[in-house]
Amino acid sequence: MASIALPRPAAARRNVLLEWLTTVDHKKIGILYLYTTFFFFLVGGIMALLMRTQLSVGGNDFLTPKLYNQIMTLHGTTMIFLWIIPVFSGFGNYFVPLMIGARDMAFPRINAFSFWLIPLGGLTMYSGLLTQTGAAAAGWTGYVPLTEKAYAVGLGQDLWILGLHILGISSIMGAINFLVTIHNMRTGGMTWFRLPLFVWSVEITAGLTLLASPFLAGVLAMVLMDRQLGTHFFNHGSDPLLYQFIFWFYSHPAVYIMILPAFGIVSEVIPVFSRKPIFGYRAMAFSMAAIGVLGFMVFAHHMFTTGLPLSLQEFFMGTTALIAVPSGVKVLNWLTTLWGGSIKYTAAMLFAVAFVLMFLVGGVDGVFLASLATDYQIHATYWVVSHIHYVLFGGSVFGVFAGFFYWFPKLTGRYLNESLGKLQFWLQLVGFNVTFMPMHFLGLEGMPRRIAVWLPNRTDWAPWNLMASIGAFVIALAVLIFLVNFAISVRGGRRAPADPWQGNTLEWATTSPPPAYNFDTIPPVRSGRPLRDLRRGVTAAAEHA
Amino acid sequence: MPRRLLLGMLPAVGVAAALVPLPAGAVDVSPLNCAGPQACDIVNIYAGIFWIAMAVLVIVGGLIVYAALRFRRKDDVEPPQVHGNARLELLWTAVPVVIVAFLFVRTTLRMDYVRNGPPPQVTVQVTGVQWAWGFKYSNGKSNFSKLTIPAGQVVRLEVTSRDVLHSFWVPRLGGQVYAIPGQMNHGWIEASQPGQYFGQCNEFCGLDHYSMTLEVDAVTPAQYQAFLSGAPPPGAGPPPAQKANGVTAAANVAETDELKFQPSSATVKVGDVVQWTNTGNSVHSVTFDNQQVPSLDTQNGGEKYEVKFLKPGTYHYICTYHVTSGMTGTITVSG
Repeated sequence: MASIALPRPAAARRNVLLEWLTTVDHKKIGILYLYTTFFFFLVGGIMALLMRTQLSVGGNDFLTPKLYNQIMTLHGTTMIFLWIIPVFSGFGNYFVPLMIGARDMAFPRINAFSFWLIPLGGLTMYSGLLTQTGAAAAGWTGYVPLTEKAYAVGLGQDLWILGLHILGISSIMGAINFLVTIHNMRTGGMTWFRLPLFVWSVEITAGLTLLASPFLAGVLAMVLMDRQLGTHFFNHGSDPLLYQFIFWFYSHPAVYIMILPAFGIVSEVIPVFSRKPIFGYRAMAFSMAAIGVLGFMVFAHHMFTTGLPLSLQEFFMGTTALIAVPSGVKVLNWLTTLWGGSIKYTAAMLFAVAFVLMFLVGGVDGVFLASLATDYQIHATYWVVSHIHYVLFGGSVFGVFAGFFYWFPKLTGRYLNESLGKLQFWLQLVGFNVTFMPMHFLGLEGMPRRIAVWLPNRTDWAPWNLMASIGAFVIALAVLIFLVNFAISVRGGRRAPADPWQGNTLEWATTSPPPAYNFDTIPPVRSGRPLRDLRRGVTAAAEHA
Repeated sequence: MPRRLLLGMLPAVGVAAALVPLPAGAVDVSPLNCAGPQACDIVNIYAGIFWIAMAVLVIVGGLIVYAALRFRRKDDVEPPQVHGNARLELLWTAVPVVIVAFLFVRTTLRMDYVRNGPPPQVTVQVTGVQWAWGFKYSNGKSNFSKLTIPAGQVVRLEVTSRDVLHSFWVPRLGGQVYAIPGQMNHGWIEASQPGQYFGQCNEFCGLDHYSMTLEVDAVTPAQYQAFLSGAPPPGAGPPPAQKANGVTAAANVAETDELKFQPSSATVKVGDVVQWTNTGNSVHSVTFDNQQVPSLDTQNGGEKYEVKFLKPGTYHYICTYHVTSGMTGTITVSG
């Protein structure tokens, strides 16, 4: 492609640090998101290792219960609110404008503000560790009355709520920004059904975030007022279940906020490395929308054991089971995209295919939780811990790594090392399953989650717990290899061209990394795969070849 | 269906563990090793879902692995560009609908039995507190941590909490029931055979959640009547301590607004009385680990409380409101 070198103004002396601190460029903000959230991933991971060390044997005293409960709470909150949700905002920030052929996000300054709230929110939450009574220790769900002043003494719980409020403001502003950008700033020819599926996923995620987050903010505000202003929303005879209804009205859609963008990434990676279009593009887009809508109608399935009327439980069992339908549609469309393809196994593709398999396991074991009767016996056991990690680690985090390997050349102009990437992949896949598969068995053997110490006389829990702890350290090794790979590749990696993978979408039309203004010229969009059209010299007349 | 067989259905690693017999002193709390009609009904439902889930996992997972291996890149020829197939989309929307509809009906048909059970023969009130379970029987008798029930009879549980959320769960006898302050939840259990069945609180309830264990003693109906009528269990002596009132105390402990017992440890002799005084405005409690020592649930500012100790030993106690701030104490009674 011919490009015209524009004359540039003479470079002024610029302070690099100041530039990053004050940037409103969507790409730089995206990179800031990725660095920050990966830092929190490491922090949350170290917390996980501490917990697995404590639980490796029965009756252990490596961590006191007081400390364990704080770490357990912060691990969950960190991984959800400081890693998975915002890391996708990072990818979205960087790639949504590029993929729709836009110059930047719709509101660049609000974008920067959304980002800077993330470290502020995280540090606010962690600052509870510095108080005499420690950080919040009521679990990431923060159920009342345990979070009320009588039971959660000290400032830790208040700081946790404030931190989540700050992160909630960030999410809501970010969601509005994504929605306005996607609705208004698509380049000519980029119709809704030519949008890359990753952009679809961000669109639906942003919609969910915008609708659901205010409920979390509201219910946490009630708890905060109970604690600090002496109101009685959730104490003195009020109904503690009200909190759970509102909390899960946010937090169940939040599960989809955490997985939909990974669906999007995988739906970009699999077609590119199979050299086929995504199978059933519209079904893929509609199934994400269906999951988004159904996601608001299943929240009480977290409360089956609280004594809700049986008819209500059965209603929520039905809606929950229905989510299996669009989820199944997605898995089968990924399968048929692979089918008959010409599959090249880069590290990105390995992570994407493993994502589909792990998500399948996480979907199938979820059916046991959806069924009322079996849920009475595995609710809040290690089965749930296993289920959520198959969805959010084997699913979302594998999707994130697929995204890292796929887009790293665009972000930096260099490839990540493929050999190290494949080594990391296999270690991570094995480590992940060694950690979380045994947790199914622990659930079936009656081990409750969130216990700081397990009684040594539960001897049948011993092998599984030890195995899970060993697996956790294998995962840690895999992540360490990624860090090494990153450190080597970011300065010394093999140089990547503009379109290293024979991609389909517009981000590959510009240089790697893209200039501040993104595109010299934006190729015409005549199908869902404008870059393939460009490579093949497709013109308007030869459309739908 | 016995648990060992079901675990044997799990992937290969499960088989090895299932064959290892439990060592002496080991406690089995697996819901799959059911010991009562409700738990066993749930195991049947579990087994049905298990086979369907395994079939889906093996077929779909197998196809993914097959496609992932079979269609590796061999040359640089672009494969046929298939964009989709409306019939296939319809098919794999319809088939999951049928499967989940079957599972829905399968579970729903059993739910009235699982949730509400047959008409109860015995009713027990269960109260969760941080961090123990209290039981109150039909004749007013009450005790802690060990629930005695008649084997072969349907026992209705009326479950509530005095403080935060808890979850009553004895996996081998039935599904869990949340204990919610201010509400009366209900559940039921039945043990088919006499024996001991174990469990622990299954809803995170604060600092010592992990230690909130319970035991169900299923006994014969005759033994149950003897238990209710207060026949002393074999080997039990007189209580180690009793409440006192207006007696000169050998040791005084202050409960302060700094959330401390002052002093936090005191030593007295057998027969001595210890007096606790709330010297501040905060509400406190004096709650002993040893449930045979009388505890005080709430003590307002200025109030006093006395206990007379009758047996040598070390008695740990806490303020349930402020234990997370480290408000704990010890009384050592020397012979």
